[in-house]
Amino acid sequence: MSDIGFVRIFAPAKVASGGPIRIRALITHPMDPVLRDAAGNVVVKEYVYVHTMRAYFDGEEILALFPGQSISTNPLFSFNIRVSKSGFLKVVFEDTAGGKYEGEKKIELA
Amino acid sequence: MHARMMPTRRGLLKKLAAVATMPVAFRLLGWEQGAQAAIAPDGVKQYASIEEEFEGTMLRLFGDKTVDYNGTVVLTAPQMAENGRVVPVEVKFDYPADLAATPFPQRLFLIVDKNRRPLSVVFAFAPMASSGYAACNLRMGGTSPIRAVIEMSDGKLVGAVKNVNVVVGGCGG
Repeated sequence: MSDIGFVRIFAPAKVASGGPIRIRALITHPMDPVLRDAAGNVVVKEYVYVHTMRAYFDGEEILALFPGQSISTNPLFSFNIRVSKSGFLKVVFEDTAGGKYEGEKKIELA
Repeated sequence: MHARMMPTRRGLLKKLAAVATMPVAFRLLGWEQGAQAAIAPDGVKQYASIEEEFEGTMLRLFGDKTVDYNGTVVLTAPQMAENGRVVPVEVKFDYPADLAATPFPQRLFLIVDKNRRPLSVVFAFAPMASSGYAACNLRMGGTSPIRAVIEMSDGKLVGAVKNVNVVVGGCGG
């Protein structure tokens, strides 16, 4: 996959202060599981998956997320956050191959 | 010689300027990390995805504490999942507006009982910024109960269970 590590963040365009807003963070990633044959024996164990996601709002960490292998390909994580000011939401993904992928989105209060 | 050197020097100066201004830009935008202690800094080790039995996962994560399935946590998942590779799961839970007195949710564990690696994902919330919702797409090896367990700041565990029938399993690992 050539576009591995493409991060996209979905957030409402205008936000009311203090109210919870729904954030959805998507990363293009194969999330390889261990390959096994029909008998269940391990065939390929060199798998790559996202093991950490951290979300920052204006430099302050607001959420840490630790996925295992049993998360779908191109994982989409949704969560609610509460903000009282405009700022940048930054999301950083890390995978087992040492890749670090990040995306950001401006959150603007109405 | 002079004509050949000029572009390189200009390029070098440009690069130097870019490097010099980068930290300033980062500081202005408030991107500097490490100013605040990370939430669950050793989470990758602590919540590693290990091949084990479901009971082993519960024992590893919660010790001898019991989970109270009292209905305050709402787990939404399809009754019948045609494809085990993508099973959308949604969790809603109470989140207090005032965090000073009440215990608040600190961790959310999504566990698929019959997967080879039952622990699927852990959400670690920062107290002031979170709110009671989390969702993601799980992989399931076969028909199994899914459970969402929430660890409150006072150590209590609340949770919800839902059985999901999987037609085609999607979990080799």
